[in-house]
Amino acid sequence: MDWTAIGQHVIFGLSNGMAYALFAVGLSLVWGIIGIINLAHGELYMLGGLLAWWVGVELGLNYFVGIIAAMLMVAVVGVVNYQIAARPLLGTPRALLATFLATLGLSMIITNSTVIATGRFARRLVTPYDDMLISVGGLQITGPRIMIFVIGVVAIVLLHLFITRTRWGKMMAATAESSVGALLVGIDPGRMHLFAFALAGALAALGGILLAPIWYTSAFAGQSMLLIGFVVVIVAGLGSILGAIAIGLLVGLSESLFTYFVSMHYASAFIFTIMIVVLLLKPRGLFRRGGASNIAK
Amino acid sequence: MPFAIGSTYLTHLIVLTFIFSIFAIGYDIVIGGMGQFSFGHQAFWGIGAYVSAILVRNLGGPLWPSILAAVVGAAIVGLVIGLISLKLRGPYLAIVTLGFAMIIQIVIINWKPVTHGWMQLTNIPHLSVGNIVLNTPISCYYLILALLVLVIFLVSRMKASRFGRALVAFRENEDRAISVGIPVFKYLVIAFTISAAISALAGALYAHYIGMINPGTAGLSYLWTVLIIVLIGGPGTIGGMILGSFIYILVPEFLHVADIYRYVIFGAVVMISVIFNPEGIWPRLVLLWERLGVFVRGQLLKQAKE
Repeated sequence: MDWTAIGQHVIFGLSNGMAYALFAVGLSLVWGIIGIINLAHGELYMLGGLLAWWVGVELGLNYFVGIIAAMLMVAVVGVVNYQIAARPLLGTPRALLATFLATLGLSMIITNSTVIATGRFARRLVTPYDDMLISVGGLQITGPRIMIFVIGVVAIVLLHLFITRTRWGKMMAATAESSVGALLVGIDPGRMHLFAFALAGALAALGGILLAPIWYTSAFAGQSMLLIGFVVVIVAGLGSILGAIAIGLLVGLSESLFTYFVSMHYASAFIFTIMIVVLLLKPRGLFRRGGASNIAK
Repeated sequence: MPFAIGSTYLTHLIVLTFIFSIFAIGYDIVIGGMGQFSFGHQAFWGIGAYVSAILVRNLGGPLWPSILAAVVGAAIVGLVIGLISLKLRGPYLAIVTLGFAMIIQIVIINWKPVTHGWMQLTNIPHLSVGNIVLNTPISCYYLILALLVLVIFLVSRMKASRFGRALVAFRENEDRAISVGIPVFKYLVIAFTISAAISALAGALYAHYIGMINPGTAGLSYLWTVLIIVLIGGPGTIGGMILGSFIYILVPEFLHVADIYRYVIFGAVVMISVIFNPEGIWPRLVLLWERLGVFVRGQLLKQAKE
């Protein structure tokens, strides 16, 4: 056993997983609260990385200014996403089917506009920490990976405080748990929907920003991330925020370890298999209580 | 009619429209017929394309038996996926079928000795009938049109049958369908299998018509294509599938004047179409036609009275 190589893959896996987690939280919130699958969610991730690149590298402003600006801009895109591709269709007879198409159309618009604006090339988000390298007992961690852990943990702690301590956060968690129950105690669903989309946009953007220095990013980065987001949301269970974070980390970790021990080519096939098995054995996900009855119907 | 169109390129687009119509009619058995979602039909289309292309190109098999083998192969895969996943409903069914399709695409990418991975399979033999090789769009036109008509005929017969009506009963109300004794799970699996087979037929025709395929042929972009066709046209209607294919293939062509903006505009067209017309365009046209009929008859009656 080469423990150093294994440790290295654990670090890769957990840092990728951190970005998966941030990405999936928003997908899960939107799906859990509003009951629709936003097929444009991957594009929010993609926009995050590219807008941070635009502000931080093209305009030459500070890296952190780029992060904040990109998150805010994508939160606005998330709100627009809700207003034009989700809200007009809610409550119609085939809302789920219709929102698939509307969000798919929006994703085409965003992807192709981005191609026009930035070209088809992959861009690398330059960070001030690119040359940093920390060695711990033979393990080497590069600056961008450290930033994923630092910023990711800060974001998750803030998110947790927000959900457990603030009025809006509690309202949101309650709506994700049971939208009917939330309505009964007087929570305005319309405002929660808007807020969920804004938060989803900001978090997906952060995921994209954190991976952009490592994986590079282009107008087409959204689709593959959307698939990973589906895996995380399904395995964790809809609307479970902490569940999405835990499973996000776990998916990144198992993908990376599978790459090391078995095969790089079949790593994503492996996580799709896990998703299918969980979906068949425990359709409500690992982090939600209750039977499968209302989902199997 | 190809001789009336007088343009090879336009004929080519119309042949593509026919192929995508077959795909959409197959896919719509799940969407419109069962009222369920599958995000996995790009895999059946891809299996159809790859199995037939490999049998004819690499192994020198005869064309039509190879296409048949591809259809049967995809039907078996569809049967297995259906048996495993058709206990689930709604978005969960969509995601589990998506998982299977992604795994199939990953196998196609990595099984390089057979599929050539991303290096593409090129020089796939053309469609042919007997000894006549159909290597131009115009020569393929009637063949593919005939197959489309055959598929339309068979699917209409299926929809009108006892089995088809049982599916409608399921779509409208699952509990009631069970309570009147319809073996729901069995029927869903059969419908899903038929749907996979028709999608594979379209995929095989596509491979031989275009002449080259790559793993993207079994990828998400073809799922989005067929989803847009079905939903724009009008789920559950055969006319809608053909109309949707025409819109999908021809509108971006007409948007060529808009140059790089054409897919942005097409995305907007898709969105606006679903927001203002969530039932699809075909049912709306049928309604207009019926209203026109009522109007004309009313006018005729009025004239007759006067």
